[in-house]
Amino acid sequence: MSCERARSLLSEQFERSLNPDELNVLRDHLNTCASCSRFSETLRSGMAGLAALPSIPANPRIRSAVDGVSAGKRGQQPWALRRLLGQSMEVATAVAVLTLVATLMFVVAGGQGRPLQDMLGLKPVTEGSPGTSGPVSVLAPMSASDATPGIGRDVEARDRR
Amino acid sequence: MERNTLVLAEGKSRMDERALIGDAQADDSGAFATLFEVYYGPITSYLYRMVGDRDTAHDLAQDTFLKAYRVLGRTDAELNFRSWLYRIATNTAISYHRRRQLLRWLPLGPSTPEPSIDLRQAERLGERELIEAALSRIKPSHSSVLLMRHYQGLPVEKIAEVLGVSPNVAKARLFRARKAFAREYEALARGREDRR
Repeated sequence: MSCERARSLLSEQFERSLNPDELNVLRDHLNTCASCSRFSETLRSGMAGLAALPSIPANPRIRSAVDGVSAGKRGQQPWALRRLLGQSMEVATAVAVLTLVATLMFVVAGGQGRPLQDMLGLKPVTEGSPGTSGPVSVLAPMSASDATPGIGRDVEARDRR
Repeated sequence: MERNTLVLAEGKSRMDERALIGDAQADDSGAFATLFEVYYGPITSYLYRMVGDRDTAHDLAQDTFLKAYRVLGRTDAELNFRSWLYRIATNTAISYHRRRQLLRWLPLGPSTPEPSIDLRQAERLGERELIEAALSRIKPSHSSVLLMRHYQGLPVEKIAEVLGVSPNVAKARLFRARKAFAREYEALARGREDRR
């Protein structure tokens, strides 16, 4: 048996029981190979040492937060969730502020008799054909002439002439 | 609460856990909080052994659960939560190691703690420190499989699920990891004996 095969079997012993033939050959090899015998010992104590490593204690702050959740105190979320909820709150706040600003702009613009799309330089464009179910309104950038009704039409009529 | 953790961890209440995972997938934060409680300890300890620093382990555990929470709603109904969580934790730890490796090359990068122990320090090591030192000297991909198998007690089939490979490939990786670990452990132990 090669040293590599012997070491492979030594490793396999952690997953399954070796059959009697494998055990006999392995034992014979270990009796004659000092290096593999040492490897066997190292593996045994090393893996046992890994299994015996202590866990790290839970953070008390997190533990109390978790206990709070399990006790039905919804206000106290575990720290991971709290961070996530914090991020969600930031996004929600940003959306709320944007909505508020847009609403204020609309109200202010409406009060002066100018629709919001005027302020933003957009105009409604109606697309549709007799065969379609109805017009589709989209917003498109406005030209300077569109912003001053009357003048643009005069220019267009002059150009047509 | 501790009892509940143990019951779920030992798999005696698989149905409960299945139901919890289903509820968490349906965006029930209470169910996710319970799963968090069950797995927070093992995942944090696993990450601590992967990175060798307690604060970093807490940060990485937090990242792991955040990633899990964000994606959980889009996962299969038959999700194996434990394997999936360990996969996220392992990838998070390996990414951390890569970033740290990269920072080492940057002259002005922040100085990060170096957990690896020099052979000359080996004489002062106790048995536990020797294990930790050997662990810190092998590749993260090796330490992750060893820790999952021997520290967390996951069977090979679960490790294969975590790695997304067949059980035979997982066994081969475990074998390579054990050899690498034994090499470092032996070198450190020899260094300790030589200096005594």
